[in-house]
Amino acid sequence: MLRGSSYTGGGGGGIGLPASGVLKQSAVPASVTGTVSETTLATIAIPAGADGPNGLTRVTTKWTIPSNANTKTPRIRLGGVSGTVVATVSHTTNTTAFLQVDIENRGATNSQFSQPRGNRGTDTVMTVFAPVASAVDMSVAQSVVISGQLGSAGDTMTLESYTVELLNP
Amino acid sequence: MITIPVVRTTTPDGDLLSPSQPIPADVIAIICDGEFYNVYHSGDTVPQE
Repeated sequence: MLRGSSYTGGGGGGIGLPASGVLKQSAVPASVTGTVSETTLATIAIPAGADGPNGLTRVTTKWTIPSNANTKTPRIRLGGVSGTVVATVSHTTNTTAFLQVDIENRGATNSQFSQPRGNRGTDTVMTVFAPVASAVDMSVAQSVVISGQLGSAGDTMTLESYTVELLNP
Repeated sequence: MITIPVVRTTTPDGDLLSPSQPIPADVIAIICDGEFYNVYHSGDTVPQE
């Protein structure tokens, strides 16, 4: 099983792919305030080849935000800071946000289907958001970037925790 | 507490701020104020929101 920075690869899946498990997990709060620019709050490295042609990367994030009319937007990107946004939703009148995405390779390491889900922007009702297609080459080292963006610089939003799991069949 | 300057990257969605160097692993809280990442270690007092 993968365990954070101790990852060294393994023999999972029986075909030389790493075993399934937690790639990284943190409950250290990371906040942004004072800017309306999108701001990186966590970067998680995915080693080259760790995500096989039918592998799945699941990213789970939990947030606290102020409930007001201003937008607060969590995002999850695959492929670094300029990578594809695979999950996002803008929140206003919520005090908490949950955003999770399954990023699934479609028989190749450079073709993904992502299905985000989480609570809606104005309440805690869980819903499924529009799927996202991407073409990030997972045969080379990549990263997941979790970011937050405020609509008003006077607000604060906090990434309370995240987990990145790697599932190879 | 240590401070790490931000770097600004232009993306198709607009500017994106990131730390100019990796954030250490042994931290208890991170607060970005738009110019710096303020990184708190065990024993530091973390500002209340």
